[in-house]
Amino acid sequence: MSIENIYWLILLIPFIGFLINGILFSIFFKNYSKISGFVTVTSVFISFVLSIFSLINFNDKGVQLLDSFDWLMIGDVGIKTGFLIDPLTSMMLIVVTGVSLMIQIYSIGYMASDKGYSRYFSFMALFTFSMLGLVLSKNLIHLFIFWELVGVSSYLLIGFWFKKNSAVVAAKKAFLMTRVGDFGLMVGILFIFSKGQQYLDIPTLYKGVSSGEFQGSGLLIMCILLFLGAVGKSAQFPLHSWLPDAMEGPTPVSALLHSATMVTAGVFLIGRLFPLFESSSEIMVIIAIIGGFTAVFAATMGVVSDDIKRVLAYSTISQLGYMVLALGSGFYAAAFFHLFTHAWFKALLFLSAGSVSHATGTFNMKFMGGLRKHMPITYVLTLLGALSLIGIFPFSGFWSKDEILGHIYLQNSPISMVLFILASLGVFLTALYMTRVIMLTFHGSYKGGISSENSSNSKSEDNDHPTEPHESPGIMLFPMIILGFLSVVIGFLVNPLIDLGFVSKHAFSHFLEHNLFFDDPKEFHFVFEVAIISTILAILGIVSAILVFKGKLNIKNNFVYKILINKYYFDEFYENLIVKKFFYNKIGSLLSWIDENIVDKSNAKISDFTIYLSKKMSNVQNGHLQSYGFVFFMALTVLMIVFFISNLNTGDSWLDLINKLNSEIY
Amino acid sequence: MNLETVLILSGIIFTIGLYGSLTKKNSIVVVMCLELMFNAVAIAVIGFSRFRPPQVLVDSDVLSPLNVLSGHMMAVFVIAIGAAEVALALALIISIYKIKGNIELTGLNNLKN
Amino acid sequence: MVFADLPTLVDIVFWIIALFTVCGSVAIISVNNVFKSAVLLALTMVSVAILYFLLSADFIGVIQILVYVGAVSVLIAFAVMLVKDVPRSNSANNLINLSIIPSTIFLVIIAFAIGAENWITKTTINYEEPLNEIVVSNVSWIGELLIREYFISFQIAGLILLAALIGALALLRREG
Repeated sequence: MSIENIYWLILLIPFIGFLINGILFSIFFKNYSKISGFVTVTSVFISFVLSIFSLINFNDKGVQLLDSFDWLMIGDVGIKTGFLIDPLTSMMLIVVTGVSLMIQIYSIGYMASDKGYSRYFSFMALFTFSMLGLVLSKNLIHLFIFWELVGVSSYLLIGFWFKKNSAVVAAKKAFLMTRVGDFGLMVGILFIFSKGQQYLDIPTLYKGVSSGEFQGSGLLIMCILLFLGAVGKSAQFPLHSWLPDAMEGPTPVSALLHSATMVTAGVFLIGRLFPLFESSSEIMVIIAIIGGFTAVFAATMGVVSDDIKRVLAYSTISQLGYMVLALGSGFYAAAFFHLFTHAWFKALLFLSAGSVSHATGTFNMKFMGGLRKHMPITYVLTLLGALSLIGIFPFSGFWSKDEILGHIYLQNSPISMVLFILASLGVFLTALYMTRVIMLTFHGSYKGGISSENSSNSKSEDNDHPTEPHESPGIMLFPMIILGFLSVVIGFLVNPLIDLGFVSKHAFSHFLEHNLFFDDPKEFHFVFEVAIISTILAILGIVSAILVFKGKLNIKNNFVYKILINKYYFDEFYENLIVKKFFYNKIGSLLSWIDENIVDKSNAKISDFTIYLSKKMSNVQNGHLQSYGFVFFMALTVLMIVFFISNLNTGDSWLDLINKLNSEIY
Repeated sequence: MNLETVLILSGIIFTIGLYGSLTKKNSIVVVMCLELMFNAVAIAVIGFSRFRPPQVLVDSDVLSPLNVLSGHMMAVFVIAIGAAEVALALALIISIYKIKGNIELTGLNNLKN
Repeated sequence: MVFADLPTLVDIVFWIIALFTVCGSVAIISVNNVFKSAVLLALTMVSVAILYFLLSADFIGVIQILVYVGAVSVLIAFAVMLVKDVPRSNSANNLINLSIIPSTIFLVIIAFAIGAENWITKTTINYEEPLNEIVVSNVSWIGELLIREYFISFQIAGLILLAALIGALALLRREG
């Protein structure tokens, strides 16, 4: 089996799983829908194993450009299908298939009683397929197609419980807000296309950038448009508000969405087009500032939210902000190292949140508490994930976050100092909100879960008694334990400070830089003072969170709290000002006026005219044979006149003309 | 009597037949007009046969009945077809009469719209 | 020599018959009575037959009288029985005035085309003398041609007549 076929298999096996689940088990064999979970898990597992194979193969062969066949050839313009296998792709393959595999094993337990079981698993397989296609694409058009497929499948999964109104709204919001970014991406791709159709091919694009084809006035606009796509998908600052709402889907969906697939697509895009962005210093600054701002901005909102999944969502936005910040500062390897570690522990945290809600029936942390005694394994695992996210030595988040911070610290420019302060503030806030989550959920006393939430919300009569929360089943704990193990060790194992023998020093970073556009190997540093600063900040955050929880510090009911709990009024801003005032009232009324007065009326006029004309025309088909004969005769005479007049000057007689005609025909 | 006069006579009769077949309501008269057109063609063919031998005769001096009488043969077939046509047309007219009760062509517009 | 430009007897007869034919044709479409039209058609056919005689086509002329005057006209006269109001049965539809335009143009163009052609100069041989040999006994020649060179056409013509016969019978067959 040639190496190209391995990549085809990695890509297509989840798709086959999607087809089997979507067609066989959703439509024909509904009674056997329990099998569909195993179908998806098996398909993703095969992809995972093949991805590991491909990684081993990659170590042997280096960057590969695999062209399979031409697609949509119109003249010279066309798309070559193929795979671009560079370190980024290899890493993303592992992350996507590995995290997806864990989450889907978990889903077998979590979704066991859901009616749409096989629908869920078919969508999950589609989601994995789309993301794999995205990371494998060698062509920007392909990348865009899979980019949209990721958007579609996330829409399907966020709106999975489509009978719930909030889920439908959230899915719509996620779809439309990412669409704003997608539009930018599309225009950006067209921009690249306008420079020459060969640049749609990503390796050619790299060459074009390095030979200076992309300099000039259009570069900044092009980069901003492409970055807009990343902003939409990765939920960066102006387009961030869809991601917390996307929590309406099933929890494993959120886990997959937040760790490996959807939101990392934006970061991946920036990484994929990194040479293009790097060639414009202005866009790099913009990217870095947006990333740093988002990191702090989202973390502040996470501090006050009561919904455990929303807190995690804000932490995702914040961590993605770190990645974007690192990319904007030029630290390609650090950004993807953080993406790599973040995928595992964020998946773990989401699965823990799902496990907690499996036990209590709610996501609202006000109604949890004291779960430490009831579900000790989940408690320990959540603690591991949280410490990793906070960045405590020696958990994986510590290494990756400090790599980012350290590099920014070493850059030594005014902007980088601002960014460093922002990032440090983010570390503090991360510690604050994660500790808050742990405290509210697992410490204190149990507050009743779903039943007390229902009684406090609706005062309904049927107050089923608060049941004792219990530990999740083994099939849910198993992937969580694996992820917990990984989130502890993987940060140090793949990118160690010192030479470990089987893994060399900074192996991951060096590995990532072995791609098409980095010529000279870079130096990677670990800065001890930064590590100490960040650890102090993190501990400070933890301590202050504990103090707040114990009631020593009162933060509620002041001005800042109000702004934060309302998410900086961003939803209101989008909803009221942009959507209602601008779109509904102004553009909507204008469009409806156009629709009523121009479109409808012109349609009516056209149809009236058509009816009038058809009545006239129907006289032509009046059924009278003699009328037809008359028209025929009339046409004959007209032809004769034309023939006669056109040959008047030649002096030929008619017989000559007829002979001429005959000789021309035969 | 020469070829031009015969041909023009043929043309006049043909035009009269055409005009009549387009304008007459009565289907029997239309059939008569069709017969007139047949005859006009036959006259023209006979006229050619009489006054204008085929090109073969001009090039070679061979005079054969095949060359000289080809117009006559044409006329024979024209008359045969005309007779067949009349027989069919009258059968059709009688069928129409059975269905419609009259033989006016103006009522025959079932193909309308 | 003096009389060289005078029309011959054949010419005079031709002009009279031609005039008669045209008048008959016009009368067919202009009289009000369909029965009169049928009779006029028979007369016109007879005059066309005389034209054939004048054009040295004796056999065709005889056939013309046999087929048209003897068979077709009788058939048509028979069909006239279907007409209800015979005296006013030959009315025209609403194309009567409009059709004059293309008819006139058609006729004028045909006349121009015929007049523009120089018919005599196309042939150089004197065909009067040898023509007669064939023309005089053209019945036997026609018979020979029919069963030799035109055999296929002859059979097909017979087939068409047969088809017309069967078709007419099928059309008029009593249902059931």
